[in-house]
Amino acid sequence: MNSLFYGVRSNTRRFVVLLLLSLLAMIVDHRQHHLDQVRSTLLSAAYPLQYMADLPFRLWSAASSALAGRQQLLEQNRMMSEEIAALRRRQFRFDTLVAENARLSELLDSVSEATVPGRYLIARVLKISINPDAELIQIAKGRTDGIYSGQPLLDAYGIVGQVTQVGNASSQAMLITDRRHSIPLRINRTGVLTIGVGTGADQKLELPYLPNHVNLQEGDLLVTSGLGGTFPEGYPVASITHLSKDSTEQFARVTATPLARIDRIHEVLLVWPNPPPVRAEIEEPAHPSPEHAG
Amino acid sequence: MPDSLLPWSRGMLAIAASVAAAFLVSALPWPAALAPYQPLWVAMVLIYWCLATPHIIGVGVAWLCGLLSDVVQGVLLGQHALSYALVAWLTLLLYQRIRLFPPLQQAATVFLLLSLNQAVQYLVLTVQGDSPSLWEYWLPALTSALLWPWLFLFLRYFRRRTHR
Repeated sequence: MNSLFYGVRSNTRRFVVLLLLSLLAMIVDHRQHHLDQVRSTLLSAAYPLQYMADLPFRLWSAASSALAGRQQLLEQNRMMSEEIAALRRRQFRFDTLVAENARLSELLDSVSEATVPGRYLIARVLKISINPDAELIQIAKGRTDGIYSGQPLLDAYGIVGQVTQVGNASSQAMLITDRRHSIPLRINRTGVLTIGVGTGADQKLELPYLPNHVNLQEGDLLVTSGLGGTFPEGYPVASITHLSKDSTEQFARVTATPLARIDRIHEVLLVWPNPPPVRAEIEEPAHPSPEHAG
Repeated sequence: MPDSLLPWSRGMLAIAASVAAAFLVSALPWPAALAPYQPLWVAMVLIYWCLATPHIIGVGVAWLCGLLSDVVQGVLLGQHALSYALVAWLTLLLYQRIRLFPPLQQAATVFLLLSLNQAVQYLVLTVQGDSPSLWEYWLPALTSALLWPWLFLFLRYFRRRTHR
């Protein structure tokens, strides 16, 4: 019987230590990002399991492509050609808007980032479940491919999210629809700046900071404003789908639906915004600047 | 460490394999509508081994598995670590009794343990300002409990095959 009591006491001792360690870890992880290296290592360790969970779907896709009959292939071919044509039209229109935007910015003498990305990378999205309570995806590119934390992801139709954890060969990204995510936006038609917050499982964005009298209508396009440096400026994000202005409330209730195919992401485009986003670290000056008297 | 009749390496490998399998199964994609019903595989497997081999699996292993879960699920480091360690600790406190429960009572105990697991995480999320608003947040404890009798039988069969 002695050994049983000993077991209980040592277990309890161990538990108390681990309890305190957990609290410490939570505090450190919440405030700073000192634990990023730990996360990165653990994420890399978990990757083989995630890869295996994704494998059935990959094999199934590969097998069904290999076994597809001629008719099916012709049909797929036709659909993809249509999609390419549609994307080309959008791209052309988008290029035009970018050019016009640049001209107008020059006229206004304001700083405008070049919105055409120099470097980009296409990443496959692993078909796995990460967290039923959050909107996260896992992509098959990591540090070895140059991925960095905070890097924006897009699909053919708009902004998808940003990278949150980088492992060796895979990374985790948060979608713009995650409850914890907010993205700086600009109403394309009027130029008004605002913020879009994710709603979670609904897969929509909420715009909680627009005053009641705001000039807005359903169908308005929202683009990235580039503020904060994470997302490059001028990329399509969402369109307004619901708007209710109650004169008794200070803010309007606005909901927007992301343009990106959030529920059907297979591949994403990772971009390196040009110039690289400004990090919040401020360097100490080498010499203190001379004081000016008077 | 009390004397053990189990061949260490094979038994440990079996436990490790079952935990890895639990992580794998929890990573399998579910249709969006069914996602809230996903059982807490890793937690259940940890509870089983705490009951069956309390001298091998304890709060430390549960804590590490929780830490791994935190990273894989993209949440605050320490969230699952704390809740899994707590569940393991409670299981170890009462393992002799829980072992002898009939299946229904065991499933009810598992339901309570996993509800506590969800509650601890709910607290951590609330402190961060991110409390889950859907009632579906509490479902995994229920579906896990319903699944428990079968998982118990399966793991017991597995244990008897691998721990001579």
